[in-house]
Amino acid sequence: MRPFRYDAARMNAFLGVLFRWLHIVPAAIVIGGVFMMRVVVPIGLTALDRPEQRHAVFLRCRRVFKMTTHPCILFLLVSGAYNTWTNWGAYRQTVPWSHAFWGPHLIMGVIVIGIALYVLAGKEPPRSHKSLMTANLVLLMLIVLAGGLTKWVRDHPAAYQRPDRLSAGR
Amino acid sequence: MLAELPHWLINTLSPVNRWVHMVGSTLLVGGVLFFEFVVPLATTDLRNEQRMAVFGRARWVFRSVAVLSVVLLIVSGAISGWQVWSMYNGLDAFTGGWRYGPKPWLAGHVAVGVIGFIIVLRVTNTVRVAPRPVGWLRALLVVLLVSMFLASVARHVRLRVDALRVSPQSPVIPWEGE
Repeated sequence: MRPFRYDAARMNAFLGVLFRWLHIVPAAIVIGGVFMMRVVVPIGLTALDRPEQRHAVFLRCRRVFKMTTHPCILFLLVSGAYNTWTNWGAYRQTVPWSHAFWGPHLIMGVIVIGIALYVLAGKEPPRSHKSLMTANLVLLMLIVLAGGLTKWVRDHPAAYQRPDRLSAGR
Repeated sequence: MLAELPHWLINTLSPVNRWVHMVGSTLLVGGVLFFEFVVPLATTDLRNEQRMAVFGRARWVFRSVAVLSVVLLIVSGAISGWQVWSMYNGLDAFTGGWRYGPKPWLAGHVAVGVIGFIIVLRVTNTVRVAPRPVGWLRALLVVLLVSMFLASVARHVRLRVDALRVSPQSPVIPWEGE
């Protein structure tokens, strides 16, 4: 049997794939969940006649959704920090384009997390929860776009590289 | 063929196409998880007929979302595949065979994704609720997560082989580990 040998390149490759996946999956769960809470659940609840019963089921949906959202926020922050750390060299090479997209991705992400924590705090939702959830859904779509543009710039450094970094290779 | 298009058009359409692919997958994965995990727990106190009524009406709305997502994923995925195909062929020439490049991972992503599409259409695109809808949704969620993981691996292999092609001495993607 071959003795175990730490291989930094393989570990980097494994962690790169894992953390990218751990960023995309929680994002998908949160975006799909916000869409379901805002659009699909209210329509599904029209099947119930009594308003208090509708409200009770909505609150229970909200509580379970909160249980999925909080771990997703944690995974998004950890995987996002790792991805930023490993890609920082590529971002530096493609300033200002990379930061023009990475910055809004981060800022909008922080805003969305703040809104989500506010809307899901407490036993009853705030009065403005519908409009806040709609705003969050729109912001989440913009975050995905900004993240995609960040990745596009990172994957095509030759087209976006700073002139003073052209000699530094790719 | 892609090289003949103006740069501004490629730089606009490619990220938009990827955005469409991402939004389609988020709606599908998030929606499936919601149906599999949130709705059954939220409706436990209801009578069985009430629970099925809520589930059925929500499923009726989700059906159109799921079908739209599947169409968007197929169209945007086909465009992405067409965009990278010539690059993949170039990587195959460098590695000495398609088995060592990103193509097997892409094929796995597509194959597992198609299985997911079949399951989602089977669960949602029927008049009556399937006998064990939550069980099917659970299987679908696993299939979709595996498909996303394979896409992630395909991208990493593409970048790694491309980095080796540009700089054969490079053991890793240039910016990794900096």
